[in-house]
Amino acid sequence: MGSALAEPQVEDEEGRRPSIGPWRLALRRLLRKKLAVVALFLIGVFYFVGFFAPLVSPQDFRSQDLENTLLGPSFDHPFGTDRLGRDQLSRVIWSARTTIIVTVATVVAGSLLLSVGLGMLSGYLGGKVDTVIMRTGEAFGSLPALPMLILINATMRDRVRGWVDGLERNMSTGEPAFLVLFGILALIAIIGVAAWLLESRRNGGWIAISIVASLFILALWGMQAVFATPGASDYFLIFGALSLFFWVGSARVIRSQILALRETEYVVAARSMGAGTWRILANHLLPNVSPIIIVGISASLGAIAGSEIALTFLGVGVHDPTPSFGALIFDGGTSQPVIRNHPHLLIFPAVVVGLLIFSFNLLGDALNDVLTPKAR
Amino acid sequence: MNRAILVILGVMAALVMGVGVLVVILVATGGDDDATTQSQETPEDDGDGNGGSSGELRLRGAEPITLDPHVTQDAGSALYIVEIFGGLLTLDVDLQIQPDLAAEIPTEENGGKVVNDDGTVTYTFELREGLLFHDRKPVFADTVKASFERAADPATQSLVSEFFLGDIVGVTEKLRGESNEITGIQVIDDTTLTITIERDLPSFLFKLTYPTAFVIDPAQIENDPDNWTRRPNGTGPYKLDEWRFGERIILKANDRYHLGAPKVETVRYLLAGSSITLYEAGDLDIAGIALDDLERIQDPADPLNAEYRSGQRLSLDYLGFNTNTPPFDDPLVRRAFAMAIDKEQITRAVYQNAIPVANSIIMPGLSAYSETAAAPEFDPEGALALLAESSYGGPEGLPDITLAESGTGATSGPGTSAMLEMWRQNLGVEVAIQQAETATFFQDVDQGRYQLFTLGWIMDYPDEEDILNIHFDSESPNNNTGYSNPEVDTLLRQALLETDQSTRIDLYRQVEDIILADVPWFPLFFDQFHALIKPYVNDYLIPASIVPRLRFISLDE
Amino acid sequence: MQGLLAYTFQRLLWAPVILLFVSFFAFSLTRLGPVDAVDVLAGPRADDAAKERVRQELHLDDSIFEQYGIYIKNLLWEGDFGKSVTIYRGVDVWDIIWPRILVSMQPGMIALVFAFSVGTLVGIFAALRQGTWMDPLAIGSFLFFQSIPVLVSLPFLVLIFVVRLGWLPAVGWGGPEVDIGPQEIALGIFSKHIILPALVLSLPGVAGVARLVRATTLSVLGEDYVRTARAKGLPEVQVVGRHVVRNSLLPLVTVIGLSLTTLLEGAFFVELILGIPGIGQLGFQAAQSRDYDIILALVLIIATAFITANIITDIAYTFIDPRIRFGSRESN
Repeated sequence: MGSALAEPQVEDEEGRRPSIGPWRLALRRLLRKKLAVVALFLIGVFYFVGFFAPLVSPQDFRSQDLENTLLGPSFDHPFGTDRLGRDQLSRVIWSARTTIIVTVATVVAGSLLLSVGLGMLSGYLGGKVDTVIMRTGEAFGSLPALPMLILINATMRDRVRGWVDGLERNMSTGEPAFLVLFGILALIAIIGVAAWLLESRRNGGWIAISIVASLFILALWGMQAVFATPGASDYFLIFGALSLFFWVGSARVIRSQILALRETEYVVAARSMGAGTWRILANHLLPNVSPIIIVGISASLGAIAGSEIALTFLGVGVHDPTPSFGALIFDGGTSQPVIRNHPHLLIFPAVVVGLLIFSFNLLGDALNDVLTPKAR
Repeated sequence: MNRAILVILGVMAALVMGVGVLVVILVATGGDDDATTQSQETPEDDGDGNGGSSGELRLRGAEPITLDPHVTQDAGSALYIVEIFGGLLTLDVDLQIQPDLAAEIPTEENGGKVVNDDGTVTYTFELREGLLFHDRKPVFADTVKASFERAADPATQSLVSEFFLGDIVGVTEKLRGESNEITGIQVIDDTTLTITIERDLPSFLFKLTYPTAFVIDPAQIENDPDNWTRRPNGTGPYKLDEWRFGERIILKANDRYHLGAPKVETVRYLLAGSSITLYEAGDLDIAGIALDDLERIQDPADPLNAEYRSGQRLSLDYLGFNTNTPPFDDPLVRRAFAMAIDKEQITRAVYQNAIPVANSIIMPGLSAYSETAAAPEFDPEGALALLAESSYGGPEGLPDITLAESGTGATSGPGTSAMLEMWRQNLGVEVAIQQAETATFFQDVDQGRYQLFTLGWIMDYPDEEDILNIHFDSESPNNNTGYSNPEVDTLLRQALLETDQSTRIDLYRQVEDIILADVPWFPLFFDQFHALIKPYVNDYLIPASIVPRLRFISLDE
Repeated sequence: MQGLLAYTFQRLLWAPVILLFVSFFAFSLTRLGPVDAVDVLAGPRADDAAKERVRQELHLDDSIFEQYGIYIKNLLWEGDFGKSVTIYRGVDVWDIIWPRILVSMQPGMIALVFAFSVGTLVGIFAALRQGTWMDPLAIGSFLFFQSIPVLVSLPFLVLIFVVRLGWLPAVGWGGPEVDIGPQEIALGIFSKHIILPALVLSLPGVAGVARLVRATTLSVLGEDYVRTARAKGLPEVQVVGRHVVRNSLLPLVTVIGLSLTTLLEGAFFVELILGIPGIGQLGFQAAQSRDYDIILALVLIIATAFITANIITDIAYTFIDPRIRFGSRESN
């Protein structure tokens, strides 16, 4: 029966059974869970609306209408307007965008790159590497994230802002320093792809890899746009700091899975046939741990989104004018006269945030049931 | 499996200690004192009618930045300081100078003021008989002198002593660390001292009413240099009974106060909680009104309307431009930024007309106030044209601009946000915003760290000097915009010494016009105080500035 | 058993190492991070000479390791966390933090006890009703309460209970008082003030515990010995009481550490919104005011508490379920 264990078991016998392929089965099982489908739908809507905020939102999140302040919900303004006559619906939509940027960036940087990379390395190589990675993880993991995030954001904000401003200036003026940096990054990407290709020619994995590489380069270009947006430094600080804390959990689980897998016959066989470390990791181990990765990511999405909102609420997250749910809830929910006289300022953003995090957790739960072998 | 349960219980117990070793210690140390403290105080009880001479007044307060009178420069701290401490002179609620520690105000008529041959002026202060600190220690003339010397000691790190005490002979040397004492202050005997100032200044006695000139207990500071402000020993009408960080401040009446014992025994300031909710629940006697409640309360049909009072204060909110940093080193840019702001609309739409628009720096109520003073008016096209005309050539040429304001939390003040949007709409300039916690903000403003900031100024005493000379003289340490205009300097210094009132007013009006045209400050709003006062509170005066007033209040019943 | 002792010992040895790492990380942030540390510390009037003096006093010209050594030495030998620089200038950091820890702990403790007791009952109840309509409802609502961040739920509760109904006090904290040295603190646990914070803090905890208890109860219910007990005709109450409850409580140990995190993070918002003078509120103020030594001290104290709690949990866990062994080499 589907059980709702919060943490996948550290080790279990089923882990040895390579569960290749049953993606379609998993998807079918997921779709059979009604709550999960609803959650998936809500998250889909949220991401769609947030991603296309410039097109979807009825107004600019900043445009003020000082003649129509603090209106309750109406046909023109379904969520009402705030103290400056800004359309609350548009602000909610743009806040969704902030949440999306932070969750995606943190998942990519923290959950994917750090936790998968470190978890696999740690599990496969063992020994000193394992000790160092796991103890570092333990140090981060044994801390409550919020006070540390506050510390990091409070002390590093000015510096990060300086760096990002510098980068941005260099970018826009085509400064050599930036071009060199960009060149180096691109070179690393190309060399990585080439190495990978050479090693894993035999199966079609290189297609996926080159797609990933080109996405990476595209993302680098995309960053140029990000740098240019006001408040970019806030994003960097937040997802940088969040990544520090959100890789530990999945890395641990991935590591233990790899530990179990690395002595299996086919890995031993591959190794005896002279396959390199990277190739074994990429071709044999990665596919086997990917369900766990997905479970880990989906479980942490709610927490990541919540952390950004919390940090902003505390004044150490994103700052004006970048809209964020943290700021909306702070505006609507911290002063009793506001709560009493203009409850719509609190209710709409709070309900959206509540639903979103609820959906993330529902989905995470369902995925855990579906993808973790133990669950049956 | 029983063992497992035990282990769980053990773990939970251990965790209790892990989170804090603390509960245990609380129980251990708290046990003894528990009973005694509880019997002495019944803190949240309302039935305290017969406790002291006449009951308790409950107010909503803000945490002071400091209770050290010599370094304070913010209104929030001064509210407490003027009740706890006192100096030679004080201001009454009509902002007239009154003697405090001094027996009378020294004037030429009573021989207290003598103009010397070298142009210096000597004031002789006769102290009252039997002056006492809160701890019953006597106050003598040398205590007063020692207080001045501490205020002017460089180690005190006071940002205001130069302005308020700098006229006294020897203070500058003391501030620079070149001298150990202030030569201009002489102790004649136990109750007499003289203060000599460098030149005849009409406003000098006003400056002695500012906290920097207050008397502290030098022995207390010496014994406890770090923590004395948590239990300060002053001479004011109230003594600090308790300051519990983040929770409350309790003042108790000083029965031996030399100007007459206060009528209310205990004044309790709550430092947390929503004032209107507390007021309606009967937990506060006086409450400030938030914008969101103002409209409701101003409606005559509202039950609270009868308890509503409002009063104007000698206070100005302004936008400060740092004239030393680009792009505000160009007066045209400053002017353009000022002209892009529609203050009328902000006060109407954002502040619900709770505060009047300011078009001058000198507030109504001061003698040099003039209705015709002309701060730049709202004119978006003109603003854009000015910006194009400036050395930056238009919005594209401007560097990044950040506006700083005091505040904590996720969002900026609504007025500020409205201004940012007006700049964006009318000038096409994106201004970033930075918030800082109050104490930090004041420090950074003084150090000229911000390009652009919003701030308020409440008059310390009703003299134009306290807003114009202090902020716009290029030599003033409190000139927070770096503004420097030789013509302004000359006129300001001339006005300072001018004894003829009407000439002085003319001079100040002249200066104000130049300053308004140069726009180092752009006046935004005058301050209006909106409060709810329970009907049984008598004589809660709303003075235009921060002066001791708690001792006049009485409670019915 | 020997392996267990060795493991325990190893864990205990690691604790100071981790603490050292964390404290160094946090310390470097406060000293190297801010652009303006010297300005903040030197005070508003400081000229270059005064700033230089502060640099010397703080050994800012020394390497970060030496600075750290001095800080740790003062901390361990003299219990000196430094002094507040901006919020309560000159006051000992410990004197500021200590009363606030005691205040913050009160709602935390109540919430913890509440979460575990109520959560267990609800979880077992839900498991026994498995298969009925109440079960999915229970799962859904557990997850819902666990999902709602404190900063979302609290304003609603304030709206209802404080603003609309007026049942609960508008000011955050109060109660009978005890003197604990630097100042007196109020024991909110003996007054109405505790209700709102404890309730809000325990909501996610109740849900988390209930979810876990439900899951483990279900698996215990499927075990042979429970089936045997039932087959023997033992009354349901006895089956549940004797076998199910005991065994399903075991895994709870693992979530205590997790609950602590939730409690602590919740405390930031609860204290801020309600105005409770605890460490959350202080941490917020300190971050805003750049009072770095206060943040540093808070982080160190919290980290110590958490590392201790984690180790105890780990060790307890291995005691309870000897199948579980950590360490990479043993796994195969």
